[in-house]
Amino acid sequence: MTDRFERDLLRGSLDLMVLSLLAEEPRYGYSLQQKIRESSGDQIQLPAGTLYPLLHKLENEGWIRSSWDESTGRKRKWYELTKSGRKRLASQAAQWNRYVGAIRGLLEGVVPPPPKTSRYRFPMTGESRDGGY
Amino acid sequence: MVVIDSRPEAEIPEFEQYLDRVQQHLGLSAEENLEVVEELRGHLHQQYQELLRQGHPVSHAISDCLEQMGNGDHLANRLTTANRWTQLRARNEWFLFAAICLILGLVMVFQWWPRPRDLTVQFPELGLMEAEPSPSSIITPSDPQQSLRQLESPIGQRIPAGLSLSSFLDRALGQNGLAYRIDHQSLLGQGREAVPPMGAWHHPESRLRTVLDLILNQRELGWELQDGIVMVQSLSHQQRGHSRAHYQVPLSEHEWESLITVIRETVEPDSWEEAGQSGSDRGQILHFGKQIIVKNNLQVHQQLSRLLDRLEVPWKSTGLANQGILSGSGGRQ
Repeated sequence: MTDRFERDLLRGSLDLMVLSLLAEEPRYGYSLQQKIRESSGDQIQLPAGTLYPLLHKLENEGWIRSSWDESTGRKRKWYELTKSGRKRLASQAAQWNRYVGAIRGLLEGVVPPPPKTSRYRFPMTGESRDGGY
Repeated sequence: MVVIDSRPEAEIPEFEQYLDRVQQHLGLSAEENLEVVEELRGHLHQQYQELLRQGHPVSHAISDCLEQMGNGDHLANRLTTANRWTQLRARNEWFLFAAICLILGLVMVFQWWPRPRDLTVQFPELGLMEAEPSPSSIITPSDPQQSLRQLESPIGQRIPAGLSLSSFLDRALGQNGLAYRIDHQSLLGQGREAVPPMGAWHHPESRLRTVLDLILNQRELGWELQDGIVMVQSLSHQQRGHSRAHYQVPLSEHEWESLITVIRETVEPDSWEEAGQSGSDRGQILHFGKQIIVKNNLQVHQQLSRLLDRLEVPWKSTGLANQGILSGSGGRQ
């Protein structure tokens, strides 16, 4: 049950995850995959077979755009956030925070409260990211 | 031990075999297929080199990379779907744009398409008549003979009480194919800005001219036929204008005297001048041979012609009839 719950959480937050990482800086597929893995303390392994269809979908939605670059000696396709992608990210982040807040309210008194430093957390990771949206 | 594979990216057969399969199942354009394969190839080689750096054996590194990519057919399908979804959306946007253009085009065509004028009323045998300002004010010349026949025909309907003058005339005349005109000037001259509602008529078999006489007279109105058009005026205005007409009737001498007496006593008796009186503005009857010359208003002429009809004597008039103003139903003009 736990595995399925995690898969559902991951599936529901993939867009938000990729958009938030591209908001930091442009990335290519492999680097994005590694960043997700590192940021999640190896808890989230996003398979390439899932990552690339997702990137193409987000690009066709107009939230990210891509460009080829060979300046590093290797031909890579880089992705960066568009203006509408930033709006989408802000909207999804607000929805996520509302959802998390609601669930947290439900869990109060039932389970121990989360650490005070965790303003924003990747799902299924203990890493906190201050600043938020 | 760290293994470094220095083979060019395109020379790892397992990867190329996998990418060929992906490419075969991609449903995108040739250029898009190549781009997708190139991107995946770059990913596979970078991960492969990373795994080798971490000390993975070559065979394990290759299998790990391919395992991460997953089934090639499924990956191709998901990539195709991800790209096609937008292609479909773009097509839908074009379809929406085309539909809007089509609707706008149709609106413009209908806007400019020639169509019957909204404010027209079709009366049988009279052609198109403008409904504004009023059907009674704009008339179309009609055939006088046809109009006469219509006036002698049954009205063919019952008319309820309370209709306005124009509504009454629309029903009584318009539905019988007769044009009419209301002389508003004569009504205003009489100080009548509005005519009271008209009375009812319950006998469809009655002659149209009889109905007109009785109903209009109740409201001090009269009518006459001009160029085949029924002109409705105030009675006083109509009576002021005298017209002269010759009535030829094949009667003996003593019958003439009786006829003139009947005319004076039954047709508007007060409108005739007394015997010996001359120079007045009242009606006159002069008898010459086989004819009488009658000078009086149109109302009197109309009643006189009807009287002759009722007496069932052959008669013929000249003067008014030639002007298309009056004619007797039994008249042999």
